[in-house]
Amino acid sequence: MTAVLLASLPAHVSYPFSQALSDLTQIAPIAWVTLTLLLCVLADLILPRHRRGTAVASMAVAGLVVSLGFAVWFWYRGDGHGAYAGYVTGDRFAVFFEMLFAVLGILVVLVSHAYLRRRGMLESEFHVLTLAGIVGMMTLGAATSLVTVFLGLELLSVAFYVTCGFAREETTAQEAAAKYLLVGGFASAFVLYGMALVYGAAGSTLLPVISQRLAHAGVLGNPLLSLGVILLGVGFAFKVSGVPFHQWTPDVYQGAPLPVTAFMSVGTKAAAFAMIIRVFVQALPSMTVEWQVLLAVVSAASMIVGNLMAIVQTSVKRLLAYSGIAQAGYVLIGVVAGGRAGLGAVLFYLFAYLFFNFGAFAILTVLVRPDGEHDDLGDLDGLGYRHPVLGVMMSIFMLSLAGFPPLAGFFGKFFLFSAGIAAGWTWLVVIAVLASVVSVSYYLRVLLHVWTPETAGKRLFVRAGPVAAVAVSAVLAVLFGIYPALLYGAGLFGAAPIPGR
Amino acid sequence: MAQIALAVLLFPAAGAAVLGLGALRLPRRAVQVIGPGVVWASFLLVAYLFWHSLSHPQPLNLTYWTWVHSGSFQVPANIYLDRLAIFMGLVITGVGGLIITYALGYMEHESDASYARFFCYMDVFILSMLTLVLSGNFVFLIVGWAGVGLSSYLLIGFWYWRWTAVIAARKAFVMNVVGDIGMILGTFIIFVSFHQVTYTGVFAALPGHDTPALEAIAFLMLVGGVAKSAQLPLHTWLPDAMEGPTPVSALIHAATMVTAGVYLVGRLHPIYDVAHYAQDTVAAVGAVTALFAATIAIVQTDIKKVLAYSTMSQIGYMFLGVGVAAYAAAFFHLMSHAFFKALLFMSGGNVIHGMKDEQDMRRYGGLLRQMPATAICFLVGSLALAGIIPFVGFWSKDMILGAAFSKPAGQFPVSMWAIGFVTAILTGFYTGRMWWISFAGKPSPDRPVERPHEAQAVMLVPVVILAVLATVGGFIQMTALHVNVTLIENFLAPTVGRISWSGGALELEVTVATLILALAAFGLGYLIYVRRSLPVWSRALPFLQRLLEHKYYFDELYDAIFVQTMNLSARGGDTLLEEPVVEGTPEGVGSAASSSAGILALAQSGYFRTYALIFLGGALVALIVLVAVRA
Repeated sequence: MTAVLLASLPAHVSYPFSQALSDLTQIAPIAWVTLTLLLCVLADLILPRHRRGTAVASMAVAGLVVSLGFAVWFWYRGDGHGAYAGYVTGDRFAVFFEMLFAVLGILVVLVSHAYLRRRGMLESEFHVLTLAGIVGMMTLGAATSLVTVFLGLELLSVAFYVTCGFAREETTAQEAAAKYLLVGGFASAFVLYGMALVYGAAGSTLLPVISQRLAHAGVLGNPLLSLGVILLGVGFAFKVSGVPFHQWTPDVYQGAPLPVTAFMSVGTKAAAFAMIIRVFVQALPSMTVEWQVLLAVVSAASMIVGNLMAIVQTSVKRLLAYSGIAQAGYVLIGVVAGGRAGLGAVLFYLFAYLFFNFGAFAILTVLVRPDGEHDDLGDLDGLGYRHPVLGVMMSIFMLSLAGFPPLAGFFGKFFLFSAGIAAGWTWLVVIAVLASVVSVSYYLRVLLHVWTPETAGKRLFVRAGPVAAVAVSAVLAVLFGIYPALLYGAGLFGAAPIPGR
Repeated sequence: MAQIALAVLLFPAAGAAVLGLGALRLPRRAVQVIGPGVVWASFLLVAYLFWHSLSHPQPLNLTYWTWVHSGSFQVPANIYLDRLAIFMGLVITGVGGLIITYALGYMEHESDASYARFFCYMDVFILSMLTLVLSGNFVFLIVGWAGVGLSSYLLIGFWYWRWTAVIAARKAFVMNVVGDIGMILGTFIIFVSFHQVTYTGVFAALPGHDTPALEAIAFLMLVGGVAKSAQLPLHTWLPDAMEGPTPVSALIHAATMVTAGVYLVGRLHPIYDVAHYAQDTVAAVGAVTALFAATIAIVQTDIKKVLAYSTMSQIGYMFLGVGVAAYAAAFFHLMSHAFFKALLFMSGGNVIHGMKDEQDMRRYGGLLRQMPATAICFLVGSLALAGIIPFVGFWSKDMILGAAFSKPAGQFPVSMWAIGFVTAILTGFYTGRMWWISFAGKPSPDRPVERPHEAQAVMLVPVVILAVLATVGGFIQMTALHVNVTLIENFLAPTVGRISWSGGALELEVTVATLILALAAFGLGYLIYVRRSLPVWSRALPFLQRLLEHKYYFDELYDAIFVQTMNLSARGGDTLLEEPVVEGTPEGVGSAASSSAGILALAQSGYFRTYALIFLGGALVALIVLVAVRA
């Protein structure tokens, strides 16, 4: 990535070593994951076949832990600034997402290691692609130029195009991968056209510069600029699986291997919201009316359609896919509301959602058998009696998704909705509250199956890695419900670098 | 200090979690260690806090973290550790520990899973009760309040295969929720008036505050206290709650939870001291309930029902105490009642256990010979309940009555005292009746067990400990006979203050008269029920007996007013609304949702071309919306 950025600099600019070091420091967490990725590729070539999987997994976890360490350190220093001629930045917003994705990466590797062995799939390639996805997501959080935004977007998308079809023998997985590639390409085209039109109007790809130039009257009446914002909005809505650009979600979530689904459900969504906030809130405050209306409508539609469709699902993965659509609708309220409270609520929700949504998917890995995933609601029957700890944790995740106190999901919704009310989007919040009432029915239906008194059934596939990931998620989902101020404060700090309205 | 106070809560929490999660797998031995063990661990910590508070009387407000911070609404997770909290903590964990230890033997016939479930619920109860008394703000007070309601519900319905137990549990829960609503509304008013919810903050803001608002708060809080403490008119659940296992009756429905209302008034005494109407209402409710319940207890034949009504009656005394601002006296009686009532329930439990779950005392008779230790312990408890010197009940009850008698505040306290005086005589009578019928005389021919055995050690030792406490516990506060030993009053003085008026003329004479009359009433039972030399009083007054046996028709009244009206309107709604409107239109709301999902699902065809088309359509709609907005 550094090379790409260097190439974009004009040749005559002198680039002293001290500057290079300073720039690299700003993106250290990203650079470190990139380095780990390259080392993993090397290790995969060198090591004997039976050692590769575990070795690469451990390397990936170690690399992500170091990256997380960097991010936490920068978070406390809090003096990050722009780098590489303003193409990326190391501000608190970027670092917030770097921490989020580093944690997510660790959880994904923990879950996928056991999963891939169980299914007999290629392992080291998978971890390398996971790391690539993480790099893309982190880049989206740190990007301050349309170019870097697109770079990150494609990096993460390409990683998912491949991993979605990782179950190479299964036709559903092939179908999912192909569909995701086609629709994803379609959406990328929208984003690219949108970017081109915005660039045309502003004459720069740097987000702060765009914001500055478009602030002047005269440009605003430009219909092409409005069109550009709409195209961008459509592409972004696709990435957060907002209605009506959501239809790939259930199919792809169902077809993709479980760890990928878990990864995508949380990671893509968080990265896409980072992108939305960077591009819309930071670069296009002058076009607020356009994107606000667009996102508000998408939010309302997502909450209604997502929650209604989830009621009739029988596959837990599909159910959670629709629930994810609805959840995206809730989070959009925070973006639409804007301001520090709104964006802080968004960041809170994304970080908390990471745990309870990822955990809900990750628990399903105990049902995995070599011949498939077995994720029907019926397969969950008696889980709570066969393995009470898992049952309790699944209950925590479902209740948190449904927004019951004192779990993280409750406060997530609370902060989002109160920001929405405060910003005057009452109709949107009314829809959101009604939709959450509907959502309780299907979240509780999952628990009904979990707590069906039935102890017979196929043996559960319980391994240390996934269970550790699930347990950490459950503990944090409870912790952020009991002590929400901890994360909400971080969310407010993370939102601070984005200029307020 | 902060860590220790928190650990007091964490022990029962951990115990409940382990027992709850491991219910199916833990061996019985582990349950026997964990269940009571965590309560005793908490007891030791509270004992340390007690020892520490002897030299450091000032209250501690320990804030751990901010639980909610939203605009002006701020709830800290804090513990208000003053001497009242420590006093309650000692009673809860001390008496609680004894009762839970006793339950090890009482519940031995349960299956392993049931056994673990029982101790899990008991630990949940101890946790909730400790949360209730340790909380430093109104929000966590409600959390603990609701928690004890929940565990009471779970434990009353512990034998869920018994229909009557399920009904009783439901009744208790509904009644308690009525009270919870009062408390929550009261907390709302507190927040609206003071913009904060911590005790320290609210009490600091009290001086000069608008009295009508305080009256409203005090009355709403009283609704909660009345429901939890089974006072009139929200009392009907307590006798039915005796459907639960006897240790539950001893712990929750006698010693601790039902006294929460007294704690509440004591905790909020800065409000009640200003809100005079509410305070007088507290006293009146207490006095009337005391008399009311004592009259019903006279005709009960089920030994646990007698104890249940006596509990209501004794809590009435405590309400009377806090209602005349004699807080130390009320809390002294709370402690002494915990001792002797737990003692009565547990020794009564020994009898019930030995008699194969028979609770009708007319079928006992002459148990003194076969179960001497239990009979003596029960006698100690009975005498304490009847207020006979030197047992603990005498000192505490007469402290309340004395305080009411000599309070210089017009006719009101004296009239309250008069009711309490009559009740004391009735108490002597029904307690005596219970003891004589059960333990003296000849064995009843209807006995289910011919030769019952004395209870095993694990059930006898806690009973004996409580019997000792009920005998000597009163010597720490002997103001009733004007002896200057005032340990309880001294200990609680920094929190609730002393009783500000001194004993007046005639008080000592009145105390002695009460004692003699109660003792005479106790002995009267011997003449009526053992020697049978006096006629049974009810033969002469069949009308009164029927009134009392139907408990003044309260259940029938509530059934007619609430249950029947509800059923009637439900049935009306069913025929007028449900069938034509709700079911006539598309099969109810749920199916409406799934049928609209079915329509939406048409778009989810699985074909990429459909998706791309809808995608494009969405983009076009967005464009049109935008043009509309801009134009």
